Formats: sequence, C-alpha cells, structure tokens
Amino acid sequence: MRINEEECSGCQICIMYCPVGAIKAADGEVYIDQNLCVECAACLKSGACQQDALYQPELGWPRVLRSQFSDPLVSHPVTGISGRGTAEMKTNDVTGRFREGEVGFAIEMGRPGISTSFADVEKITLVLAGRVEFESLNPVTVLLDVETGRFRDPRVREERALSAIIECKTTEDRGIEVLNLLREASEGIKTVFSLCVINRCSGYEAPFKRKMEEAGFRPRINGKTNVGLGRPLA
Amino acid sequence: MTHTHHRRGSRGSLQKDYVVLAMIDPGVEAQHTYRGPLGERVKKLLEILARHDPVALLARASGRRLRYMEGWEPRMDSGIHQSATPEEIVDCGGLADEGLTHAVYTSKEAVEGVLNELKEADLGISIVVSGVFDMVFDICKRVGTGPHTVNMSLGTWGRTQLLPRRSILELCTMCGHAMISPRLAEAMIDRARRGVVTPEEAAVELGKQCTCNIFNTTRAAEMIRNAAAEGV
Repeated sequence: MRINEEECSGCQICIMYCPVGAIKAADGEVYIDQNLCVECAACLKSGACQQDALYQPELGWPRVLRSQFSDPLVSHPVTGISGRGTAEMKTNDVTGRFREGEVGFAIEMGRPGISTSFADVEKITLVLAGRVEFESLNPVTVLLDVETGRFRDPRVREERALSAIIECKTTEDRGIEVLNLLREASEGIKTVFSLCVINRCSGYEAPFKRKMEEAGFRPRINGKTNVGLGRPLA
Repeated sequence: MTHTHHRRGSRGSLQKDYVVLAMIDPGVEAQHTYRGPLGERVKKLLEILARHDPVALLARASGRRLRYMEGWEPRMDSGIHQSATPEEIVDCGGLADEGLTHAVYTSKEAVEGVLNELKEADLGISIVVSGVFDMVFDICKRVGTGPHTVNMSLGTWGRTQLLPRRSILELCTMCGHAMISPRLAEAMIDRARRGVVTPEEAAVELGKQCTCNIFNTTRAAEMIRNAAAEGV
C-alpha cells in the first residue's frame, strides 16, 4: 500500500485501521513502513481516508505473495478460493480429505494479528518435512520443495504476510511426535502461530483428543464441528 | 482457511457465539449436482439461515459480498463496507457461482433450529458449526446428526508476549483473518468510555472490517461495554 503524499492531509486516522502497525507518523507526515506492510488493504477498504490518498500499486513477484496471503478478498491462484488455506475439514464429509486414523494440522503462522515473515514459516516447514504429508492444494505447499521443506525461490523468505497456514496430516500414531516437534520449533520463531488439530469423530468423540490430553496438550473448549450434512458422503 | 476458529473468551461469553458455515467443495462435482440446481439449494439455505435471527449473515454472489450485521445502518457504511438487509441477501441472484455462506447466532436454540431445518431440507451442502464443543455436540444429538470431523484449537504458540491484552484479543479474534486492528479496538473502547459512540456503534465499526462478516456485534458490544466500564 502507498500514500500519495500530495493528497494526504496528515489527519492520521488511517493509522488505527492498520492491523500490523505499518502506518506511522513522524514530523507531521504519515508514511507506510513497506517492510511491515502486508498488503492486506484493510486501510484502503475501511474508507478511513477522506482524501483518497491511499492507493494500491501493482505488485510484482515475490511481493504479490503479501496480498495473496493477507487480503481475504484476493483469491489465491492455486486454491481458486479467497482466504488463506483450503476447504480443509469444512467439506470433509464429502471429500474424505482426513480419514479415520489420521490427524490433520493447520499451523497458522502469524495469527492472531501479529503477522509473520516467510523465513519463520520455513523454520516450521523444515521441521515437518519428511514427517508429514503436506496438503497439495495449500498456498504454502506450492511454494515448497516438499522433500526438504525449503522454499524453492529463496526470495520468498524476505516477504511477510498477516498469516500463512501450513496444512499437513499424519497418522494418529505419529501425531504426538509432530506436536512435540512443533512445541520445540515454536521457541525459535519471532512470531506466533495458532494451531488447529483435525480429527474424524467416532460417535461423539474425537479419538485423538484423548491422546493429546494424555500427552499434556489441552485443546480449547471451542472449535469447529463438521456436522455431517454434506452429500454425497465420502 | 480457518477464519471461524480460535475465538477467545470465557465459557460464558463463548456460549453466546456460534458461526454456522455452509460450503460446497470446489472440487467435488457430485456435491454441486446433488438434488437439483445449486442456486436453488443455496437460496433455500439462506432462507433457513435468515429465519433464525442471525446477528450476521453473508452471501457471496458473482464476486459481490452482501453483508447483514445487527446494528449496522446504512449511515455507517464506509469504503467498500456496505450493509444489506437479510431480505436483500436471501433475494439476491447469482448465488450458484459461489460456494460459501456464513451466519452468526447468539444462542444454541437458534443453531438447533437451523440444523433441524437443514437436516430436513437435505441440501447436500457441508455445514460446520463453530462454538463450544460440548454444546454443539448436544445440539447434534437432539437434531439427530452425528458430528463427522472436528477441528480443535491448541491455542497460540511462540512469542505470545507480542499479543495484545485479553479484552482486545477477544474482540479481534472474532475476525479470523485479523482485519480488525488492535489499535482500532482500543480506540473504539476509548470512544465508548467517553460517550462519543455507543458500545453497539463501536461494535459495528469493528465488525465492518471483517469482510467475511463473521463478527458477532452483540457479543462485541457487551465486551466493549465491560471494558469501557473497567477503564482498562
């Protein structure tokens, strides 16, 4: 995002609409820290600028990744849907993406609201590579060499996003090992991640929930339930 | 895309916050053709969602997003954020090309009513309910549908010291894409404290930024009122 300096009145109202604190003021002038800006366009969409001084320039590679990962109104070219990941468990009743005995993980780097560098995303994918099956339709996966967990284009590491979701799955037997690896890796990142754990239900129970609790991982009381009304069932 | 996930708050507060998400998988052709044209089924879906007094309702049609949010009046429109009525959303055309709809409710009774009707209608559209698990499972039992898959939250890991304070986090996590700035939330609480805006108006200004329209303005107004009264 950019500010047309000739149009900007310096009112500073746009500053409070930026989720990552990239819009700043100094010496009476408002400017956007281009390193922090994740191109989510929240400031522009808010209509906060009465002077129409904010504008979105065309973004080239790799900076365009910021917009694709951060602006929920931009459809990702890989998934074809807006947002930051895939349909994951939302349509699992018709896709069978996660089967009985499997556990899925969605590691959302930078959430909630802190943002992330792709260098931090890679720190996690490096740990997971070879131990999980990455979701092939996920926007992070398509940037990776999935054998090593490294970004195929090293310039990606220099970019940032409001969040980026690593989606993968493994078997229930190996799920706790993955959680332990993530716990260790979380100590080496400069941001946060929010962690989803996906599991098929057996009756009104999620079998992996008990395994997590026995291993010292306690899920929150709230989450998402696919209630099984999709048809035809997978 | 886990934007209805990881909402923060006490059990008492979360018990008044449910998101019902309906989705057609883009890659499953059989779901697109199940029991008739998708457009008619999505219209039926929206009628059901609208009938149970949602505090927010979204339809995506032909690249547009039609958004209803309780308390949002046209005078509050700004930027791309334009309000619609539930009737306008139900009656909008061009629904078949978009496979995602949400509604937000403040009671388990409303969600139970929605699921009862959806089960009866057998639309073939996948339905996900975000909320407190044991309450959602109880609803499933009463409706007679079995939970198929769950997405549990293990919370936030890493440098959690970077997170904003609790009341701000609880407001901002009602937009899973983090489009609501913590600074805006602080400003709205401050304006409500000074009487410049009502808590309800402050909630709408926050909710407008959530372009997926899953923000619960009723719950948010209560949070803002409490935070303003506490002076924190």
